[in-house]
Amino acid sequence: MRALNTAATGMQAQQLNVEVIANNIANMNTTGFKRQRAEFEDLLYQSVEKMGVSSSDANTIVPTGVQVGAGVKSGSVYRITEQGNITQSGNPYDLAVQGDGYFIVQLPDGRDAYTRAGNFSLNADGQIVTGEGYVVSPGISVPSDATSVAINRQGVVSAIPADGSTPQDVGALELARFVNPPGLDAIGDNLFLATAASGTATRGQPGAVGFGTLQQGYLETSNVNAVTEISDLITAQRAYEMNSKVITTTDEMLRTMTNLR
Amino acid sequence: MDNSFAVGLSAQQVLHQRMDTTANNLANMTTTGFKAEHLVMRKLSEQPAAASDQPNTIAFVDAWKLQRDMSTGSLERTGNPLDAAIEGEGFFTVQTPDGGKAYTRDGRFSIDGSGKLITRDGMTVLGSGGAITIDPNAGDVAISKDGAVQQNGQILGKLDVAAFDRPGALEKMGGNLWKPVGQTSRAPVGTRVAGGFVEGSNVNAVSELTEMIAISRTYESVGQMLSNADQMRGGAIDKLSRIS
Repeated sequence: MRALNTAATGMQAQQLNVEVIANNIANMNTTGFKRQRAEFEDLLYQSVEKMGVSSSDANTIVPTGVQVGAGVKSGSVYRITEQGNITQSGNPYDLAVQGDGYFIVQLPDGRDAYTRAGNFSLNADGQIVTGEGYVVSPGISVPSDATSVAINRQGVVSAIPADGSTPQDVGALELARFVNPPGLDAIGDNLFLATAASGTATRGQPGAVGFGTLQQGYLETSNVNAVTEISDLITAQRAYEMNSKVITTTDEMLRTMTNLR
Repeated sequence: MDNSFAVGLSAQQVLHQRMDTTANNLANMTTTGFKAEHLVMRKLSEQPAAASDQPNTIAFVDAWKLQRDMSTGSLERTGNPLDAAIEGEGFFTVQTPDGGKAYTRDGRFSIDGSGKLITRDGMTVLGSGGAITIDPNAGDVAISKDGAVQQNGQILGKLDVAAFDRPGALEKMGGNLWKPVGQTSRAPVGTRVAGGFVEGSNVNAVSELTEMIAISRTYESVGQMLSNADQMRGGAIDKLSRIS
């Protein structure tokens, strides 16, 4: 019976749904995390009686016909790039992007990765790096004699020397924007890579037209909403149960059939 | 073959199909824009195959047609300004890879690398004047109640919402797409587009479960009828063989 396979596709779909929700909840406190949503589409249909065929020689048309569907397939897992909340952290190298744009990070293999997580620090050479130690583009070195740094909304980094003289500009951070940010490829560690679906990166200064501005001493939290996730989880669990009931019922029908003799 | 066996068989075949349809509804409980459907059965009257003293009309069961529930599913806010849901009748128009048109209630749209509005499967979403292209650098996009895609107060295009006189008679193609067979589209009446929302599935879990219970119990009782008929036959053979 087809119902068994149909219910199996339903259970697989809900399993994916739960996995995506679990990942969202697990990353509730991950800086710059963007929640995801599993999306589904119906599978192919088999026409038992074709729509629109004539049912007699006098050209009467079958009004609706009979189609039996084969279940559900997972269409996509879509990333929702809504802005997360901005929370104060106090660390001078923590940056939050308010608006559109990703920090550009140079991976050890030379490629560029993109991130919304601005929890940066300095490495031994005085360069601004991510939590993994990757250099934040364009590679800004803070002089060792600086007592503190100020990063303004446009990303300009100024070092304040120990002798109290005027602050010095040591570089400016860049942001990258994409036509279709949900099309970015997540590689873990809060990093993304550009793909054909996202389009190529457009680089620019924070605060330029279309780009967000930076907030020093703040971090962007994840945009996961616990209440939404829990209610989605309940829906997914119930849908899973319903589909398992279909399997039990179909099994009972098959038993009835085999018990005929 | 006895009439009872033939009738029982026809009932069981249709019950299988009804079970398949119900399973499909439940599998698509969380599918965007899915419309629930139910198989309607009919009585197919025939004269008995075997001649008897007084011929009675016996009735077979046949899958007659699909009844589709075209009511609007629950609207869910998604946070994506490019998502759209249709409140009321009608479908969004998309262009299939072969250049034809297909229709969908699934309004999860996004933009591709060149800024064109596309569906999740990469098909072009058609506006009244063709494809809608969004300039990613020109600010926020919003979809208004009449389906106009706006950016900075400028209308880039209006989503082409097409309605049909008999929407339940459209053919489902899978992938949330529908295709008209033997009917043409018209302008929708009283339809509103909700930007930032998607339409959930309109499957009602409770009614599907009760439907499923009804199917399985009917199946059992048909099975019981078949074994009873079989026993009667066995008894008749037994008795008749003893008399002779």
